[in-house]
Amino acid sequence: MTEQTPRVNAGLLSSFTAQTVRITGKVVQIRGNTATIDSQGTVVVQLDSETTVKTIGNVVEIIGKVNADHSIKEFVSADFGPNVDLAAVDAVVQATHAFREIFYDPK
Amino acid sequence: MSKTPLNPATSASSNLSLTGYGGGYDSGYQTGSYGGGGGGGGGFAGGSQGGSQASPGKSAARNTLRPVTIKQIIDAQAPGEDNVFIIDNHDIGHISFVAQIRNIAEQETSTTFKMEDGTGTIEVKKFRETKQSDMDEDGVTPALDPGLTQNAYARVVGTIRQFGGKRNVNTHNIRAVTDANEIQCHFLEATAVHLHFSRGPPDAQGAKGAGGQQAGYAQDTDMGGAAGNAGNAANLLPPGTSPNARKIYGILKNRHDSSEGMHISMIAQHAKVSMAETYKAVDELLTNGVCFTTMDDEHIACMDF
Repeated sequence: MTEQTPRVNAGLLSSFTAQTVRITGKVVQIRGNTATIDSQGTVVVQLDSETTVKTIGNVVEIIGKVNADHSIKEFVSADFGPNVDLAAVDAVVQATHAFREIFYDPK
Repeated sequence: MSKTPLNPATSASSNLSLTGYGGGYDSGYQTGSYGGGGGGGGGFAGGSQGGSQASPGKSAARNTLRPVTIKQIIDAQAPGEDNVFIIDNHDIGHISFVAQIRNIAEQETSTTFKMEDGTGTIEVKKFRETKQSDMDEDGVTPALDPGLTQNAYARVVGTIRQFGGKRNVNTHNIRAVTDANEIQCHFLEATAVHLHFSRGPPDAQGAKGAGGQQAGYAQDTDMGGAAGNAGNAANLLPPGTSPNARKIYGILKNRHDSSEGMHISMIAQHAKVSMAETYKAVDELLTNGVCFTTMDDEHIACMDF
C-alpha cells in the first residue's frame, strides 16, 4: 500500500523505526530547529524549515520519519490549536493498532 | 447534510474506551436495511415481487451513510455490478470521511481533491453545481468552502465510483474541518461502525461474555455462531440494556402463545431472578418501549417486531 502513515504515540515509536508515521501531541518546547512534544511520553522532533510547529501548548500532528534514536524527522505538520481532547487522540492511536484492518497494512 | 459540526468533542470523548462503542447505533439500522434478516416473518421480505426489481436490501442500502477510512474505500469489494461496493459484507450507499487535502486541481466542470488520511490516498471529485436548485436567489452557484486549502483537513460526504480500474469518490458536500476533535471523532466512529458490522452490536456479547469489556471483543469471533440464537432477539434491544432485561425479553419473545402476556411472578420464575430485580428489568423494557402491559400492570408482553 502506498502512503500509509499509521498514527502512533511515544511508546509505539520503537516498532516503527525507519517508517513514516503520524504523531499527535502537545508542544512542550521549541529550541532552534528541534521541538519536544508530549504524546503519552516525550518525543523529539527535528523540524522542517516550513514547519507549522510554532506555538508552545498547542497540539500538533506531525508526519515524519522515525529515526533510529526514536526522534522524528518532520515532513509536514498541522497545528490543531490548544483545544484538542488528548484522550480522544490516544483512543484513535489505540484503535489504529487494535483494529489495524481499517487503518494500515503491516509492513 | 447539515453544516453544523457534530459536536466532536463530546461525542469523541464519551466513547473513548471503544468498548462501549454502540452508542447511538440502535437496532433499527440493521433491521431497516435488511428486512429483518433473521427476525423471521414480518417485514417485506416476501420474495414474490422480487424478480426483475432491485432487491429491497439494495435500494435501502443506497440510502445509508457510513463513516469510513480511505483504506476501507480502497479495500471495498466490487462484486461486478456498476458502482456497487461492499464493506464488511454490507452494501455501501453514501460514505463520509475526514482526510487531508494534498492537492487541488480545478477543471472545467469540477474540482478534484487528492486526499489522504494516513490510511490511504484517494481522489475526490466535486462537480460544479449547475442545477437551478443548487443556486442561491441571485442565480449564483455557491463557491467552495474557502477553507479547502492544501494540507487542510476536510470532511467529505459522497459516493464511491470506479471507472477503468480507478476508484474515486464523487462528493456533493466537502467542507473544511474547523475543530480538530472532529478528526478523532471520525476515526473512532469509523472504527465503531466497522466493529458493529463485522462483529455485531456490543451488547449482544455483553449479555453472554459478562465481565471483561475488552474480552467481549476478543472472544467475539468464536462466539459468532453461539451468540446468534440469543442474539437475534437481543439485537433488537438498545445498547445499554441490562442482562436481566435481555433475559426477560428473550423469555417473553419466545412465548408466542398468549396475547395477554405473562404475569410478572411467572417471569421471575422462568428467568430465575428475584421479584425486585424482575420489576426493575421489566420497568427498563417498558421504558424502552419494547414491552407493554396488557390486562393489568402485572402482565407483560413484548412488541413483536
